[in-house]
Amino acid sequence: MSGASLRRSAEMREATLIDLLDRLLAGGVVIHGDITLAVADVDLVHVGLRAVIASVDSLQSGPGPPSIDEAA
Amino acid sequence: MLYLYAISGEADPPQGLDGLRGSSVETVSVGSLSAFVSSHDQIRVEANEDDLWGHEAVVEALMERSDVLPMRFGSMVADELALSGMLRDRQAEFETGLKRVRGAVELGVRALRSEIPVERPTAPTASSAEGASPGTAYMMARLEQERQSDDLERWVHAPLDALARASRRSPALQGKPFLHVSYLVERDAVETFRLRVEELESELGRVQILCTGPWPPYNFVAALDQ
Repeated sequence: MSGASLRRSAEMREATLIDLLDRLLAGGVVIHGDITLAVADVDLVHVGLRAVIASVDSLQSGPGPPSIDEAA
Repeated sequence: MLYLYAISGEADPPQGLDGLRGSSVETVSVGSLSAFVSSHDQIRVEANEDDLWGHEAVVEALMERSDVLPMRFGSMVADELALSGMLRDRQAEFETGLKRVRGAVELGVRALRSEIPVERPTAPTASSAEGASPGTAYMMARLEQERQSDDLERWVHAPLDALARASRRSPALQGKPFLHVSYLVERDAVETFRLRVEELESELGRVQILCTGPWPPYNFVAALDQ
């Protein structure tokens, strides 16, 4: 593989991972309201996901710290 | 606890499809709608590559069999009762969504101009002779950026949009000299679309275009004017 196509492969992998994050964390059907579980594990997942979404946003929109609430 | 992967009009459970944590993927149906789920005493997911790809692998396998509305990662409900309630309450929304994506998949496109003069202004003109203020130089660089952004609209987005049923733009990148758009494309038109991306990249020169997918239609589950 030439240097250029190796580089394109790496870019594809990065782009694919970012695309995966974008879609799975910020797209798709969302469950509303009361029927979500309000147990500790799920709350931790929500906080974790917001942190990743903020990171992806900052990756795309350029320099500047993401504004996330730090998990306790 | 039920972990949700997707919603579909296809009621048959998939054979031998592994969900997260070695579970099997099952269906819960109400009327014409089915949700694809895996059942767990408890489950904790993290936004790491294993769990993300685990979720995605299930949704893509389901998409091979029928049109689906993919769930957001980490969607969970307590039990079948809660899930049935959701399918009933949101039946119209989900049926409309399935119609919207019928026979189609999502392709993601990013386009970038390879040379964007930000630090230095464009070629000198009468009004930008040496001695132009830094402010003027900056403004000219910004105008150049906008011109290039318009170019991507006209020369990349427009021809691809013509091959797609719908498109959705990534909000984070408005007004910047690159393009980031998701396209809803008929399954049969995916190859044509991909070929067009390659053609555009070689025709235009100095533009890099990355096309990923087909993805399940994560960006087309909601009405397009929302």
